[in-house]
Amino acid sequence: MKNKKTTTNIISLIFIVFFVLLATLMISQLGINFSKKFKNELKEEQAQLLHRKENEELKELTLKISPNQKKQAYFQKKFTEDNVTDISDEDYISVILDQESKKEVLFQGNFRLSYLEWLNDDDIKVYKGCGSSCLLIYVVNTKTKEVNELVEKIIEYSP
Amino acid sequence: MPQDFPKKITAETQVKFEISKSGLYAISITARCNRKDDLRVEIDNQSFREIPPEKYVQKCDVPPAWNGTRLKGRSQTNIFLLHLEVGEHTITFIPKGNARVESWDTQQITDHTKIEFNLEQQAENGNGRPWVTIAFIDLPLKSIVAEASVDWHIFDGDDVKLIIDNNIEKNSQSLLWKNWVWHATPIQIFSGAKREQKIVSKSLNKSTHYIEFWADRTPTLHSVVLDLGELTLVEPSPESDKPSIRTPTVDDPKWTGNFEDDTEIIILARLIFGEARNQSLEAMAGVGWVIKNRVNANKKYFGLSYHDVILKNDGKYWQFSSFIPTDPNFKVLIDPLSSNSKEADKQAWVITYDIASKIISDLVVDPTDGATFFHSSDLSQEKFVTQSVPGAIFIKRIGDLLFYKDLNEK
Repeated sequence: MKNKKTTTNIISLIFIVFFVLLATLMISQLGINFSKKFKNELKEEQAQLLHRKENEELKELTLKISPNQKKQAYFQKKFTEDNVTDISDEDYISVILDQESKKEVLFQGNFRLSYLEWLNDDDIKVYKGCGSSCLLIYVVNTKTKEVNELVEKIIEYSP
Repeated sequence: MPQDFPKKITAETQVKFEISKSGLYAISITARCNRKDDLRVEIDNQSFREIPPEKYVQKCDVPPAWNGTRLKGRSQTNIFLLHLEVGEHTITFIPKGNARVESWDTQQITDHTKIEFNLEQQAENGNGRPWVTIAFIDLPLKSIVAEASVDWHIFDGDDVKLIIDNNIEKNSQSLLWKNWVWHATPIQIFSGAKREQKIVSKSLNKSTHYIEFWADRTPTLHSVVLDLGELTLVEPSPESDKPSIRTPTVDDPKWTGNFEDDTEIIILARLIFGEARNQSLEAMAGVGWVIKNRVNANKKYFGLSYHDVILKNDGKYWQFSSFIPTDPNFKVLIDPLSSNSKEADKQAWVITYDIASKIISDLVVDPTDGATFFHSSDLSQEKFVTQSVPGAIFIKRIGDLLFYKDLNEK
């Protein structure tokens, strides 16, 4: 009788230890998952902050004001994981038109978009490098959004 | 040598020295590390990496560092040959664990065709391990003349191995000691130590090179004489009496504000990074070769040097838009390892540097068969040959890039 009771106690003890261990494991796993999630969120938040800062600098660098001082245009980059695999995307850089505090995407292109120039109050020239001795110009009308592609001959050769 | 050496260092330690005349200098450092400890140095914040460059930068397991696992407490002398400008310079000792720096000194080199190191240095007893390393920083090398003595000690003899840029110089006269240029033989029990001079001719381009002498047992290295061959060092001018300007490196490529401070490899790597980092290795090599082919064409309208070709502009338009200071790409290529850079950008920089270095050293073939132009698929082929470069001859397409020859080329 006494032996039977002892065996029962031992089995109970094993079960208790097993459940305590299981509970500890589950709690720690929850903690790890939470910590991972928190870290990932923090990392993403930092990346977004960095991206915002980068775009503020890019705006400052590329901002051009129309001759009548009423319109502004500048470049903004889309948020990407890196500057290698996504730079070929045709929406990697956007030309933002800012008039009367209303912002809109006027034109988009890949990482080769280089700089802007106002042709007149309505037309803007977006320059795109395309290799050696290669420069493309997109003349974009800010009202109709019509785009004309031109090729610039950039170096004169005299063999 | 400063008063406080030799000393044991356990944390990053800096020593400063001043030079009054610009020119070629040898900085010699002797140190030792035990197993599990390592030591490396940076000179004016320039670190030294493996040759050839691997995907991940190594700084401790490289010839001009002290690797405790290999040294097991024995000493190693590293000599850094480099150009220094007038002013203050810094050597930073960076230990992993702890290390003992025995001595360091600097010496100006006056004749680059005969750089003599009379070392008379006997190795401490031990199995094959690094012993004396000479690091050439952005320098060429024509030949090495080294003299060493080896002896036999009952069961084993002294041997010396010579490794140049990670390649072991083979001993064609011996099958048993084919990796040891100097080696002792059992017969020397009777004849005694043997002193031999070896001459190794190399034509290494201006770049970073490492020459390593490895010792097995206790050989003596008497002297090393180096000939750098043709060397165009910047002549000191009154203006160069200012503190030195940093030379960007693969590990520290941050632009100094003047691309003229870039080496040819660095500026070519920036160009490939700026124009083609999203392309295949072959296309990246193609872009690099377009630059090299322009340099080799020796035509004024292309530019006569790597810097000329890459920075070519007429005040209004640039040959390569990524080098326009207001171009969004410019910010990335002037500091590809910036703290804000993402991991993929950093890896792409290391790859483009590797390609640039191989192109300049002719270690990668021209995949474009002599192209001097390329354009991206943003522009049609028809427009390029009729409007951008009329008459350009199409060669091939690699990835998104199309390569051409000049109409005036044969």
